[in-house]
Amino acid sequence: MSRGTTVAREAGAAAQLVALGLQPRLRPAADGAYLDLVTRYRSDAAFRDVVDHVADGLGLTVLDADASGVVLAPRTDSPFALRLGDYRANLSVNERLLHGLIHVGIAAYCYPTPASLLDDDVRVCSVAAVERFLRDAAERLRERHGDDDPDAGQPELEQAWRLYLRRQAVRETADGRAGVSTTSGMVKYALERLADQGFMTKLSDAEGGTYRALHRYRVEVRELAAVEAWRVLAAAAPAREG
Amino acid sequence: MGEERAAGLARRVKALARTLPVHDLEAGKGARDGDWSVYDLRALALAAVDGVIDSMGLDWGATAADVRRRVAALARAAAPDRPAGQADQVAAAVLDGLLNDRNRREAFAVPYGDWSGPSYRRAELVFKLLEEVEAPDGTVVLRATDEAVNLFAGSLDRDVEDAHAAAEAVLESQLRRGRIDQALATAREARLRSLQFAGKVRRALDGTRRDLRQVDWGEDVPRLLDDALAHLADRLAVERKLRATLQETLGDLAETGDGGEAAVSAAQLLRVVAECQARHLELHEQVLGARSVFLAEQERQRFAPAGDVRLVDLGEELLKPLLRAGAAGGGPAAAAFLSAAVGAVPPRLARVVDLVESLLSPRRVHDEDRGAARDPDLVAIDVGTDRFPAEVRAAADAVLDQVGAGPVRLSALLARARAAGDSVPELVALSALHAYAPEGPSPLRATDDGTPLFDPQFAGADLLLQGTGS
Repeated sequence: MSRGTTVAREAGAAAQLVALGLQPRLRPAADGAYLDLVTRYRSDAAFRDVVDHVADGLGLTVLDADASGVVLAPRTDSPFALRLGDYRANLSVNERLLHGLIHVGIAAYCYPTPASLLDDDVRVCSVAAVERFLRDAAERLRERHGDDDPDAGQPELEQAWRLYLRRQAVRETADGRAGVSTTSGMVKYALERLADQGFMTKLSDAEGGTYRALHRYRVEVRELAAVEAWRVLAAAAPAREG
Repeated sequence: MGEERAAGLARRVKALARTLPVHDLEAGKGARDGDWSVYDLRALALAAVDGVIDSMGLDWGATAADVRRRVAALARAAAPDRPAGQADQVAAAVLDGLLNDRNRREAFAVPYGDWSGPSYRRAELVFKLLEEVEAPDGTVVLRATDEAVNLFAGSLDRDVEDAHAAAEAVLESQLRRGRIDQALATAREARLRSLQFAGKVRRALDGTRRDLRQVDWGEDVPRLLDDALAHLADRLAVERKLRATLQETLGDLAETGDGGEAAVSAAQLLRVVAECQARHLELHEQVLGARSVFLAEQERQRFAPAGDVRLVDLGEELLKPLLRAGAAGGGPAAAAFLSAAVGAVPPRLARVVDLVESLLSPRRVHDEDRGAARDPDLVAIDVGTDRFPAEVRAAADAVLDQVGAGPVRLSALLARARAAGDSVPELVALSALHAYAPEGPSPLRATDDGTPLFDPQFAGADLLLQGTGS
C-alpha cells in the first residue's frame, strides 16, 4: 500500500503503529519496521500527532512509546476496553469488588510509594507475597473494627476487608491445585492475566508463582488505572461517608 | 563549625551511609539458615556490583542470573567443603540485599546528621544501589546506579562530570607512562561515566516527553544541557587526542616487534575509546536536539488535558479506602482499576473467508458416532477390473522382481520392460509411480533425486526404486 497521498500514507503508518501496540508481546528490537515507527513517533511531532489522533479515534490513548514498545490504554467506551464479564464469567458484585481489589493490591505491592511510580526499574511480586500483603492490610482493619457481623440482607454493604478475610488464602483441591475461588487463586489469576497482556513476565514457580512487573505495567497503572479509579472513588466519596 | 567543613562532613557522612546496605548484609548473616560465618558478604556484594558495572554498556548488560553465577563461584571458592547449593543461596541473598528485595525494591533510606544548613537537621539519604531494568529486546538486566558506581568505583562523592574528567586525566597519564593495562581499566571506567552522563540527559528528555511540567526548563535543564555541551566538547577533544596517541603507540609496538600482550591491550583500549567517542557523538546530537524536543512538546502538551499526571498513592489513596468500602461504594472504582490495569484487549473479529469456510465445512464426526455406524450394505460384484491381461502382469512382475536392496533407475527398468512386451513398460511405470506414494505396505519404494527421465513414452523424474523387503 505505497500509493495514496502523503496524508493517507501517514495515517496508514500511524495505524500500523497502533496495531503493533495492540500486540503487547512484540518488541521493536525484534522488528525493524516497528523500531522505525517508534523512532518516528518520538522524534517527529507531526507524525506523533497523527498517531495520537488515530489511536484516539479507536478509543485508545498512547501512554508511552519507547524502545520496549508502545503502551496503549483504552477508554471505557473503546471497543478495546476489557469488560468485566470477559475477565471472568459469572461474577457476583462482591466477587467483582474482590477481583478489582486484588488488582489494586498487586499495583500497591509493586509500587509502595508515589515516587516509585516514576522510577523505571523492574519490580518483583509473587502470588504468596501479594496475598499476604492484602491479608495483613485486611487484618489490621479487623483489629481496629472488630469482627461484629455486618447487617444481614445487605451484602453490597459488606466491607471488602471482611469479604477478603472470609475467603481462605489457599485450599487444597482434590488434584492438588490451589482452589480458584481462594484469594491465592484469585491473585494467581490476576497475575496470569497481566502476563498474558505483556505487563508481567513469569520468573519462577516459587511462592505460588513469581513475576516481574515490567515498566509498561507501571505506565499503565500510573497514567490510567490509578487515576481513573481514584476519580471514580472521589466521586463516590460523599455518598459513602453519608 | 565552618561552612566548608560542615559541607565536607555531610559529604563524607553520606558516602559512608551509602555503604550501610552492604554492612547490613554482613551483619545479618548470623540469622541465615546454616552457618554463613565463612563468607565475607561485604566482599561478595562488592564483587556483584563489579560484575554489573563490567557489563554495563556492553551488549545490554548482565542479567541477575549471570551475576548470581559469578558471585556463587566466589562463594564456593571461599568454602569448597560446604554442601552444594549453599553458595547459590549466598549469591541470591547478596543480590536480594543490593536490590533491596526485602523492601519491595524501594530505595534505601538512611538517616544522617547534617550541620551544613543554617541549623542542625536530621536528614534522610535516599538511594539505590542496583536496579533491574528492561533492555530494548525485552531481556531484564542489572544496572548499577550512579551512587553505586561512585561508591564502588572508588571515587566516593564526586559529581558525575568531575569523576568523568578525573577518569580521563588518569587515563592520559597512564598512557604517557606506557601503562597500557592500567589505562585499559581506566578507560572502562571512563566509558561508564559516559553512560551515566547519557542517562542524566536521557532522563531529562524522557521526563519532558512525559510531562513538561515535571521538568524544570526554566533553570535546571538548560543548565544541564549547557554543562553537557561544554563537557562533551572537552571529552571529544580528549578522545581524539587519546586515539591519536594510541594509534601511535600501536605503531611503535609494531615497529619494535614488541607485540604480545601490550599490543592486544592497546588494541582493546582503542576499541573502548572509540566506543566512548561514538557514545559522546550520539549524546552530542541528543543535546543539540533537546531544545527542539522541548519546543515540540510545548506545542503538543498545550492541548493535553490538565491533571492527567496526578501521582496516586496506591496504598493510601486506593487500597485502604477500597478495603473499607463495600461493593456499593467501592465496586465501580475497583472495576475501573481492573479494566484499566489489564489494558487494551483487541476484540477478535472473524474474517468472512474463514467464517464461510468453517460454516461450510462438514460437521466433525466424533469417534463414538463412527463406532456406532452400521456396516455399509455392499454387494460383491464380479467384473473384470484389471486393465492389464495376466501375461503382461506376470512379465511386469518379473521385471520388478529384479529390484533388490540396491536402487535401480526407472529408466533401466523401462528398458528391460520394453524387451518383455508392448504394455509391460506402462505397467512398470505405473507400479513405480505407485511405489513413490504407496497406500499401505508396498514391496517397492521409489525416491526422486531430481534426475529427469528421458523416455519416448513417459515424462517425469527418473525415480530410484528399491525393495522394501515387505
